[in-house]
Amino acid sequence: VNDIVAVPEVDASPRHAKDRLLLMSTDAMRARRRPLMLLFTWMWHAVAALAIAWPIASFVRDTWGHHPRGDVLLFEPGGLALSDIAMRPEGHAGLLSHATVVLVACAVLGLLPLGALITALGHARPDRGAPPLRACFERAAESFGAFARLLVIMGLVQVVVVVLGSIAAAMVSASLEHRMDDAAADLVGWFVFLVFLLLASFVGVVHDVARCAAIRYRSGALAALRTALRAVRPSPVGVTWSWLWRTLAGLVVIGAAAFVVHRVGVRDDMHLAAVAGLHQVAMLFQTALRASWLARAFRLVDATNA
Amino acid sequence: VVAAACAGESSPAAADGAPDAGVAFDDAGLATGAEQVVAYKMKATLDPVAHTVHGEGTISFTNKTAYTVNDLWLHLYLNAFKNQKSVFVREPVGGFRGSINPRDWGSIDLRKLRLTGADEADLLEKTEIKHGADEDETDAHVPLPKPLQPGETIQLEMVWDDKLPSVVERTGYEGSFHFVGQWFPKLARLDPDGRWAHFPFHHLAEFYSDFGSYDVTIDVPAAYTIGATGPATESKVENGRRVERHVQENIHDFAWTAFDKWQRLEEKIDGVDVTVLYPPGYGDAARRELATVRFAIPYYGKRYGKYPYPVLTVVHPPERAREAGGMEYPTLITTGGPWYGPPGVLAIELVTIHELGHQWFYGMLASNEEKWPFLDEGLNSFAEQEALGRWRGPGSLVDFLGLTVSDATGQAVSSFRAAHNEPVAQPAYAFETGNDYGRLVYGRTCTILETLRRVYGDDAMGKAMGTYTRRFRFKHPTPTDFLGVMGEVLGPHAESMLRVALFEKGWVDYAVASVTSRKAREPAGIFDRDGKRETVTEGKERGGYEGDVLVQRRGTLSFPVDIELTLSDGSTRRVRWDGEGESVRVPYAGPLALRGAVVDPDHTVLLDERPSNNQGLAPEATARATRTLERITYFSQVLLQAVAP
Repeated sequence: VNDIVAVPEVDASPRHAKDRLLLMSTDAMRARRRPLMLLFTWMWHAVAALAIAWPIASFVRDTWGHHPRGDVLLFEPGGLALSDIAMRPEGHAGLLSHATVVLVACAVLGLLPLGALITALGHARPDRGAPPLRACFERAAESFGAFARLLVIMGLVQVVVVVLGSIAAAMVSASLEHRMDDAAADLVGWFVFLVFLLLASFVGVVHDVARCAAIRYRSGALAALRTALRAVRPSPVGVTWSWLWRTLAGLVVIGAAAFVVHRVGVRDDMHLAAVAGLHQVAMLFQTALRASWLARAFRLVDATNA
Repeated sequence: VVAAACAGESSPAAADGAPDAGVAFDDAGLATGAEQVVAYKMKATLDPVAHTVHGEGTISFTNKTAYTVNDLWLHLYLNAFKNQKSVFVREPVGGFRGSINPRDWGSIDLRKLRLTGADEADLLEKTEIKHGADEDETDAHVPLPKPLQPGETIQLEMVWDDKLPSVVERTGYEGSFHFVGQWFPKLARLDPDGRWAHFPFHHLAEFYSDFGSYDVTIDVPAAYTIGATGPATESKVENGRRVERHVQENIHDFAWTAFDKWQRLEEKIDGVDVTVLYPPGYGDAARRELATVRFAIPYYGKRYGKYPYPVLTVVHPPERAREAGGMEYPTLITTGGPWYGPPGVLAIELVTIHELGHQWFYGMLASNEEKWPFLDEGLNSFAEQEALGRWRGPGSLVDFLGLTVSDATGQAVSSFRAAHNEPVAQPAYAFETGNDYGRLVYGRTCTILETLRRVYGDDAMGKAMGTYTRRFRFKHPTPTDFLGVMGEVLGPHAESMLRVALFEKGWVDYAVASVTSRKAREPAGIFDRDGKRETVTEGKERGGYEGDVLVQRRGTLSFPVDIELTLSDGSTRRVRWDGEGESVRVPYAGPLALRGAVVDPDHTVLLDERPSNNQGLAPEATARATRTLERITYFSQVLLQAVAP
């Protein structure tokens, strides 16, 4: 940890001196230095996902789980049980509303562990060790209001961009249908949508950078947004690429996990445990990639004046 | 990503190439042609700018019945799209296929209708196109000046003009694409009882006609490519026009298409010249369609009798004219779907094999589709899923990264939703909703027949269906004919179940009502032994376990099923139940505890409308859904990463 240089003390009044947070040198802000925080973030997602999944699994257990081999029928070739359970409406509304409520709650509550992760990526204890979880959460709680406002603002902007992209793509395709063949018209339309999708992704990138700015400078949503835009302006493509390659790598990992599971199959409880382990490794990798990007974003705002 | 996150395990590999059809027939005596009742000789001239067709021609009609005929009925189907007073538009049935009001209306106007020969007469004047207050113009009544005796032949001379609608319900135009179906004045079928089977164009109904020959000359601008029923016997380009003559016998309809952008694939398959016409950009879809036909023509030929025509044309309409897709005409079918259809979703294969199957059911059997739509669409849906299952295995509908859904499953699950609404076997116009029509005529019939196949075996069902399609080839069979063959081959119980299922909304639900398992003990209680009274509070363990399984059957259908008992070590043993009676109690005694039981573990009774109650556990065993929990948790993690990172 010799390369961690504690620079201006930004946390003036922690309850305990050892919990004081010191800003790290820009180059030292790396996700790999915070393995426990990565584990915590992964666990948070796992627990939240479990909260969504539990009622659905209970529903399946009560309907198809009375088979001597458990819910094996749902995964049989031909998909009879899977289709049956999907097509019967009984109980679906309740499960869907539960999943939606938990998902929204996790999206909002998740701002706290996200803020804590960002804090941990950019800060250290006075002894140059990883900052304690409680201190990270305290910092995240301070920025919760800014995070929530950013979520609403940037989320809405992203939705608007995607909707506009869909409309524009459909209009372009339709206007070209009589001038070129269907495939070409569709491809042009898809290209238009891809442009809007990239624009929406760029909004997401700015959103993340703004979150880091909110933590770094303890600023409100709009000030953080201004800082983020200043930070991104010199190299918007480079910054977006920093996010994009990590996202693509994450997708590759998910695809690879699905492929391996597909090839190996799930024949018994041992296989199931192995599959679960593989899936969680994939999610841990995803979390690491995400943290790596956030560390990059933090470095970016750290190098930008608020 | 979602699919990848949800994806499961390997499934059995799909069959490679065209497999054996399962049952063999001696087709030496197979009918090669139909009784020729009608002969159409027509010329059609297309104006692709005005979207009109000028038609001229003759119909020869022979009264093959034993009854004198005093009139004729002519179908003028295009008038279904003439205005909002047609039966087609008025009928309040939605939910199946197609739109109701076309963007641009269409019509057919009869300009000339004359009886030729010795009794020459103008028939147009007395032709009644509307009937009383009903302003539908699709079913025209033509009184004859002189009765037509059995065996006599008359010839009608006709001139007519079509205004094609924008594509609606299988016909019309979209830009320079033209699909021309139901386009000529068409004689209704004269049934053997001397009555005309005539009807207006209903929204849900299809067609019914006599067999005969069609000799049609099609005249389009030279830049256009023609696809039509039957082989082209003459073709020339002169004066900026392309003229093709198509001639085919033993058919009962004629359709054609003209488009200035058609591309084509051609291949000879099992002696049949197959042409796929497709718009630019749809090459992958066309190749998938050709591969499907490559499998299906020989397969259906073995199973239902050899395809008797020299050509087959597969038309893939452009996506914006998709309503022209998914339809059958003699030797010509239309498919559909976007050019980018993902290979793991077998929609293109399904539509292609379905429409091709109609060549045997709609085409060669030619039952009354208006009165008994299940005899065409239902039987064909069964043939479709059976063939697709044979070809592509359990992923015959969806096969993506281990997630497999079969066509049979899709048909069954869809049909459950309408099983109690209406009978399957009823006229098309009698269905209250298009959804009921689709789920019952297609899905329910398919599920009923697939249940018979699984219960009685593929050989028996293959023999039954093959016997029916061969015996009634070119003969317009009725439900009685179909049930008769099923009973003859599968037995009276199968026929009885089929009748109840088709005509009486028959249904069935097997359920495991209870499973008990306990240590086997000597009996407890008060016993008088050797002059002494003895009270035994708990019997001595005899070693091993005993228990029973109670299985119930609800509903009006019954089929023999297996009951599978699962022991504590995971081993299983099976007991056969004839399915008669409302319940059966299966006793168990053995060295291991009984963990649970499953009725119909192989899902032979696809009609079982609640398969989720087919299993039960002993009280000591606990229900589990650990695999579901793992999979949904992982999926939720992926989702959370995406929406709430």
